Amino acid sequence: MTAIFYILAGIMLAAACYVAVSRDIARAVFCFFGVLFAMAGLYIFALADFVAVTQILVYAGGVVVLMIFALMLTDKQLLENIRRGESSGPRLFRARALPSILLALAVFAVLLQVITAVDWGNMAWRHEAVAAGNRITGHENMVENVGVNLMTRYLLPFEVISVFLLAALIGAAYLARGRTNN
Amino acid sequence: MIPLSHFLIVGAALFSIGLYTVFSRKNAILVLIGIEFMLNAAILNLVAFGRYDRIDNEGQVFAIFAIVLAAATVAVALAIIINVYKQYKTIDPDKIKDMKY
Repeated sequence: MTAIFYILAGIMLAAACYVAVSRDIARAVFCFFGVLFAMAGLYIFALADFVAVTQILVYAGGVVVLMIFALMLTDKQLLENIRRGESSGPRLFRARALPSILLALAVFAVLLQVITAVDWGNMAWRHEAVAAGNRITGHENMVENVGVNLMTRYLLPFEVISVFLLAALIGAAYLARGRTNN
Repeated sequence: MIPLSHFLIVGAALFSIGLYTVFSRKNAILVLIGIEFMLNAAILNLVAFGRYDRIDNEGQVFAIFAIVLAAATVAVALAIIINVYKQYKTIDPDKIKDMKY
């Protein structure tokens, strides 16, 4: 069962690498879709099933569709490339991208150093959480938990984010309007 | 089941790949996808640590808010990209060099 976690993590990282190096933009957006689906699987392994379903609904179902539409609206060559069947494989190594690769590797090395230098099994907050029964086992109803918390403890951020979504919606619709009547 | 550090390592790897995507791609939409990778790595961290907080459930609720915020960010950013395309006829970040005035 835990092997599936590593398989999903491998799929996700491979798809992310394909997005990072691929020359074909449409394929990159579809591999982004694959990354988001694999992330939802990883959330389920972290016992966060409501977050996983929210990720699929909002990210994989909304954000990717938005990006595909924006891609079709901003790239004149895209559909002609697909129709002509151009094969443009991933370009694995470009000398111009060497500083970016070094920077990304340096950031990863710093994060890895922090993660491996900590003894995660003996943290004080972890012992307190286990002692107070505060761990999420797989047996709760997470939807009820998240719902009750959103309505009681996190009510103010909930209301603020609904107003924020309204503002973002109006802003995006205003920005993307056609300017024929200017 | 899965140790906490494994989640964090996967998140760190995705963050680095997102950082590389932001710096090395010549299409503004792919830069946006790189930013989304970094956001997803952070949300994975939140959810991994949220396993130790059942009563307040801060990790998962924060993760839900972060997903919603990222979606709103993408909507507004794509509207801006479409406007830039109408003005410059390209969305290569290297070629958009003029300020309005």
